[in-house]
Amino acid sequence: MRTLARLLLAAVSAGLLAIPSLRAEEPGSVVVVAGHANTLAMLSREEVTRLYIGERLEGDKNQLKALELDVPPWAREVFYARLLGRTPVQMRALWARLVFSGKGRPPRIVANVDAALKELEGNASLVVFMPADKAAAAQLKPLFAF
Amino acid sequence: MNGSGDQCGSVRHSPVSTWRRARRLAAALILGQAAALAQADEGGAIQVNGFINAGLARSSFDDARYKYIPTADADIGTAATPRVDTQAGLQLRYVHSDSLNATAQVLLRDPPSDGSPLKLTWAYAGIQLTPQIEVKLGRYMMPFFLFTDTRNVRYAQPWVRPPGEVYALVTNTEFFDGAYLRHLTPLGPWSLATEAFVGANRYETLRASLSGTYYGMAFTLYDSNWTFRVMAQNGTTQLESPAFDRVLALLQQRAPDVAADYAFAESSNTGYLSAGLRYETEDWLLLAEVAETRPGDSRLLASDTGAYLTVGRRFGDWMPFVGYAARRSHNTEADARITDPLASATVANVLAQQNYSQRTVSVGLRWDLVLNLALKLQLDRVQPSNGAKGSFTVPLPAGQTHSDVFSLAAHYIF
Repeated sequence: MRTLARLLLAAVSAGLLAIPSLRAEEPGSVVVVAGHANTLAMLSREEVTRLYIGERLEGDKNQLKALELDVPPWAREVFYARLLGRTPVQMRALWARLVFSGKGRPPRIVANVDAALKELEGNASLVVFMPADKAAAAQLKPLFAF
Repeated sequence: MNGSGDQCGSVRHSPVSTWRRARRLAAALILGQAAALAQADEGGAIQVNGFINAGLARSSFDDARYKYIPTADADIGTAATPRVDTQAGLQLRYVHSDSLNATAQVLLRDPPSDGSPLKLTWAYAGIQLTPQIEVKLGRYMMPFFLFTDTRNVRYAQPWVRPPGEVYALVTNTEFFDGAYLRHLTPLGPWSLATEAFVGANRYETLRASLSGTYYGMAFTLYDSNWTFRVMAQNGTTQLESPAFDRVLALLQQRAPDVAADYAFAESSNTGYLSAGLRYETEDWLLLAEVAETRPGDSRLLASDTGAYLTVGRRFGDWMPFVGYAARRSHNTEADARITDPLASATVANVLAQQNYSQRTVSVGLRWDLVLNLALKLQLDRVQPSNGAKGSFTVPLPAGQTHSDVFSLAAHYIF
């Protein structure tokens, strides 16, 4: 029992060290984009919302999957605050309910913009949010913008 | 933390090394190297998630100890105890493809009655029939109330524990074996989730064994801020209780005219009705639910109505909240038709033991110390109704109207 307690304490402690601050560092403009091969003209706010709470869309958009960008950290906070009026903590609680009831999964996370761009070009079904200037630099058309 | 995919529980499949990678991943999770929820489906991936609840609670009395779930063993006296609020869960999910996955979830907890502290509470094959329809076949938890299927994932709730006036109505039920279907319908900015479920279960309480087959439906309408939910479940319950056997035998002997009304071995039309409301913005959280149990045809079993209202306000990483909850047990009065003194007193005592009527006023504070870890304090003032035992081992001491339950907890997910 003591060993189990130590393991739990170690898990929590190490988790604390690995978790970044909750605070946004800076505001910014965020857009949702897909790869060049994607022929979609746009996405509605409702569709983006559904994608980012783990739901699938209907019709010709049913193959779309959302990615989440880890860097820069403010992008996620701005995105979820503007899309859903949620903080990262609230999103974590939402996903916890979905994950442990088997009703959904949070979007897969990509580590940086370059990795996101590479994924988008390799799979036309993926969409990701990113800073507007990064999308413009990669000549990606915004499907949804805040 | 939201790290890269490799850090967060998704590993690519290869026939040779999947199991070894899964073991390494599990070890990394135990060591806290990955502190994020495993992410969306990747074909051929194993995903690992878990939660840890560490809590202590104490109440005002040792003779009338507080029981969060009256039919469970664990109770809370004046010495702080971790028994009620300490659990850990681990979920393993294998994603074969976009349309097929397998999920297992084990729960480590103080068992509600005799048995192992480790329980397989979820084990199902998930089949995505269409983008909007998913079916689960196997072991799962029926979604009676807003948080029933995630009631042990305390991180995802504002409280130290969900209000017992509603959530203790599920008694010792931890899972059902059967089938579950969920259909999502987009309605403009709203979504309608229709859930249909059927399953069987068996569980033990302090004095009885219950089993049954049940079916139900739930409709949940939600948008970014609002959630409205209604649920109905019904079925047939088989009850084995040596104590009730003796009561029924006594009635058959001393009050044969009414004994049939107290037969309990098999009851049809047993189940729950519930309605729930959730409103959440970046600053405010409002939760309200009302639920009702139907014990079936037997006069020997009481029914209950429970409800709660919780309001929280966020200030950055802090969220104070207040709550009010009430439970009313019905049909707990003595049966005037029974004229035999011994039979009347015996039945009255059995029914009085099922009178859980009470109300609870709660104040609490949640502090999101970091993204995946919340610390919580909660004070519940629990006041049984006049003459009722409420959620206590025995009625409160003479002259006492309430018991204060003080709780402290840390809730962590990965």
